[in-house]
Amino acid sequence: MLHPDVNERYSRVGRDTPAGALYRRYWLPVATETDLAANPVKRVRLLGEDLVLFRAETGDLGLVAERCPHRGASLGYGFPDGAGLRCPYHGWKFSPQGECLEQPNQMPPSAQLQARARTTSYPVRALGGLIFAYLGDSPAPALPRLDLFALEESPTRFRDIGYAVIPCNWLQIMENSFDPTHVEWLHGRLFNYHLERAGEEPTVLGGHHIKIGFDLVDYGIIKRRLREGQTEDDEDWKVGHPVYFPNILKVGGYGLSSFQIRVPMDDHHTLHFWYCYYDVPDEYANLVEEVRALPDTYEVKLQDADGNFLMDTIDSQDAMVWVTQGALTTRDDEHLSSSDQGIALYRNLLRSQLQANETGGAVMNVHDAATEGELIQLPQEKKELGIGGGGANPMASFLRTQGVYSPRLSTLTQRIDAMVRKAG
Amino acid sequence: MASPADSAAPNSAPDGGCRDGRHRTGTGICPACGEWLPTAWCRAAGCGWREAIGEPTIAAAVAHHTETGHPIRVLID
Repeated sequence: MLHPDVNERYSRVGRDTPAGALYRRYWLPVATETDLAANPVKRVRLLGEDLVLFRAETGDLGLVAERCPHRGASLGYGFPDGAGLRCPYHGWKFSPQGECLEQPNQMPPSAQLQARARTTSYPVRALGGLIFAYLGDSPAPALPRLDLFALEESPTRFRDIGYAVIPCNWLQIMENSFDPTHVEWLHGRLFNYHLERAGEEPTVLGGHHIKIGFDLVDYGIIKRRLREGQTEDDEDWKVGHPVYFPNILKVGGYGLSSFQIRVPMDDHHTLHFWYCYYDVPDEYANLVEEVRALPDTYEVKLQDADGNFLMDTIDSQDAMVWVTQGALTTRDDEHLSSSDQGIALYRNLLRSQLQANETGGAVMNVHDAATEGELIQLPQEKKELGIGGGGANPMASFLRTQGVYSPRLSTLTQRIDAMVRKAG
Repeated sequence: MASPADSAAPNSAPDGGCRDGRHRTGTGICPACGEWLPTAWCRAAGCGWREAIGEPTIAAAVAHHTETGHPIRVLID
């Protein structure tokens, strides 16, 4: 259990909180490039701050405070003009660096008023189709070039980025990444219960765990599991699932390589990205070009119109258990068991990093900008786990994940189904 | 049961072992007091650091990693 004051220390992310200060040491993704291409002005909430992300007509990216310093209207309804963003109310114009460039109806023009109207701004960078923001002190650290961010699409590979706002605190989501045995129940037994009722093929995720282990490494923690019938030579144990501290889980297998990225919007909301690459079997490579013409960004649906969580994807099942703990869960009433020791390890790691940040020590994964560009390779399973239920279509089982909302994946799966049917 | 993320692990005896005293080097969970009994060991060549002191094992593992940067495995059978 955690005392309430410790729980608050670990969970809250506002400007003057320990975890908020820690998160301000990292670059955090706030949108996709595809999103911003569709609409170049986007309201963003990050670490308790209301901001506006925009791409100026010059192509420069900017992230500024949402509230206009003139009379407080939202710049989120403004429009790009030349090198800046104009307020929707009176046309005041701001640069990506927050300078007030124009105050159209101020007569005569006042350099002093213009200087006073400078607004808060933060650096933003694009990498791998995502747009990252840095809300901390200067100088900004290196933007980590994790392996999947450096991957590129090819005739047999395409990218897909799902996103959703999860209405709960970030730490509840991260703790799930250190909880191997939930797969057996939530995605195995419970999912199979629903699939059986629907007359569909079960998953292969119900295998009983006989051993779990965790490696503390220089970038975070690797989670390992051994299920009945497996040996320590199986990838579940030998490779495992790495977590890049503090908020990125890497998972994959059978053609999927993915990051699950959890970005704290505020104490009670988390922006979740499913950053995926799919490698398509060679016999279906002719379909990839068509698929790549579709958008690579999509919103993931987790609840129905009545607010009930959908139980038909692995990811909405996860969201259900994260959110139903409460917007910011209490931890002084929990009863952790031996299967929760990965959670304890992560909390201890978090505690050590909070302390390091407060005392001026080195913080995990915060690297000097001079190291920028170095590729960071993380291990990934290739043939382990699987989901089951795809039949003869090698991509179909991914429709039991959030990928079912992807225009690219669902189109590809339909095309493959047609080919499989035609082949008889 | 307390988690080792708490500053105090109430089931831990002063010597760092399980209060029952018989499970200092065991793994899993103590049948007498319910304390976790993980084992942690350093995987850096030549280091030899190893700990199995009940719930404080996990905090000790993080401390060793922070001090040395060595990779550590925490295992629960």
